[in-house]
Amino acid sequence: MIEFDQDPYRLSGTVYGVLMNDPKSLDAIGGAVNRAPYKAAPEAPVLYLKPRNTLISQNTEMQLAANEAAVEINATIGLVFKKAACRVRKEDVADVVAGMVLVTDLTIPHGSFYRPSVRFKARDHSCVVAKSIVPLNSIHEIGSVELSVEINGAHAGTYSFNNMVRSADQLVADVTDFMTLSRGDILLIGLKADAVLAKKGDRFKVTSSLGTVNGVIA
Amino acid sequence: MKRARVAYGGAVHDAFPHQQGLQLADGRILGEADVVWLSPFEVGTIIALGLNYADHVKELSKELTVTSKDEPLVFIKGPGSVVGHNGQTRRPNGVAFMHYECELAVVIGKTAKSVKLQDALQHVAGYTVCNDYAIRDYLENWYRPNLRVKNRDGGTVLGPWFVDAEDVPDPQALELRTSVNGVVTQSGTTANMINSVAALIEYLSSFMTLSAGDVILTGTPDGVVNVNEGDVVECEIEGIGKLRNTLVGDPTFQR
Repeated sequence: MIEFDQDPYRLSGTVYGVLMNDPKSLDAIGGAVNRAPYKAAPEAPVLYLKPRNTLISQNTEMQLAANEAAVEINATIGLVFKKAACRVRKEDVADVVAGMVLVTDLTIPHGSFYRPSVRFKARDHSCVVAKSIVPLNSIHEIGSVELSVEINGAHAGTYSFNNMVRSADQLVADVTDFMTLSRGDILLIGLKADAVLAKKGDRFKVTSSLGTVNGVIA
Repeated sequence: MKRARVAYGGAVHDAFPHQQGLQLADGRILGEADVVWLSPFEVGTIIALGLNYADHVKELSKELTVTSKDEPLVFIKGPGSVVGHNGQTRRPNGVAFMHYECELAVVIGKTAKSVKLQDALQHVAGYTVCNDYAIRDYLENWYRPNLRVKNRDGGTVLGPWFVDAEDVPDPQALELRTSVNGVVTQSGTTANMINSVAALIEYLSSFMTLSAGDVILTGTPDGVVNVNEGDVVECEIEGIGKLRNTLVGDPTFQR
């Protein structure tokens, strides 16, 4: 479980993420984007939920199945909503977002994005949420955040979130255009293509100005 | 036993069926239209199934590349989409095909992790009816059915009654029926589910822990048709309840 009380905010436990928000994710699919089953590049944000069984604060221990070799360390930034957000304009995002939280969405790699792939996305303890929310004064602060990923103590990658398909403010505008987010909800701003992979037995750690999350893949 | 959660007189109450409508736990007898019906249970994770009825798969076969032998098609919905019995759901201007889906909603009662088929139903607290709306205009082939189709505000209608599992001896022998403005447009039976309630609990609990309050929306039979602003949609499951919802247009939402 996560620390729901993040004074003055209480997390709702609802975490939404978005796929294909790194332009390199779509590039990696290449011409197949226009063939079956996709037939076209996505238009609306490709969203998914991390259900409550996935949520954990620290020191996660996520289990791989016997036939699974690795898991993606999808460290990213979560926007925490301070009030209900419906049809928010891009320029008004600061009115509804309380701050940023470091989140790592552990995902079993999968090559097809046609179906929602819940079996690869909803594993117990696969959504590691850092313990503190860092207040957000300007949405543009997101661009300067760097997340550093270590595997077994060795540096394995650095993520930043400039030049996403949808910037964080655009993402909030497009998502809240068709669904209302509630106070305490978290919206992840996207996953980096070429995420660091961790194998069974590996320890991972993500450090940043937003805090730290860590865990072990069992 | 059947029970509901309703708002009345400034408070939320448990309520029970009564021949005049319903009876609050404190004894007051009220008409069905006197109260605001809420979801009959505290909603945890909402797990929905697509293509879980053989007849519905046949209905959609022209546009599908799957067969019923594939892994269950599962997606997760958010709590913001939930609305109770007698509520309203917005049908946006300009869409061509918005349809209801009458579904048996299975509410988990105790933690389920790696549960075997033969033990699965022991983890069910009870059942209710769901109308799991979709707007097909917004379908895209990425994590399909995508949330813009399925996770809209008011798109998960639940209720009116929560029915204890012990009162439903066989969840695979229930008639389902939907009517639009009183005309029956969908009918089927839970006997035609591709993955039974028990099989779904076994499958889901093999990779995720289910907890009390989590709900599995088990898919819909064939007979989904477009509904329009002003239509009254009633989804009924034998022995579980009749769930009513009204489609409203953008003006009602002041858009």
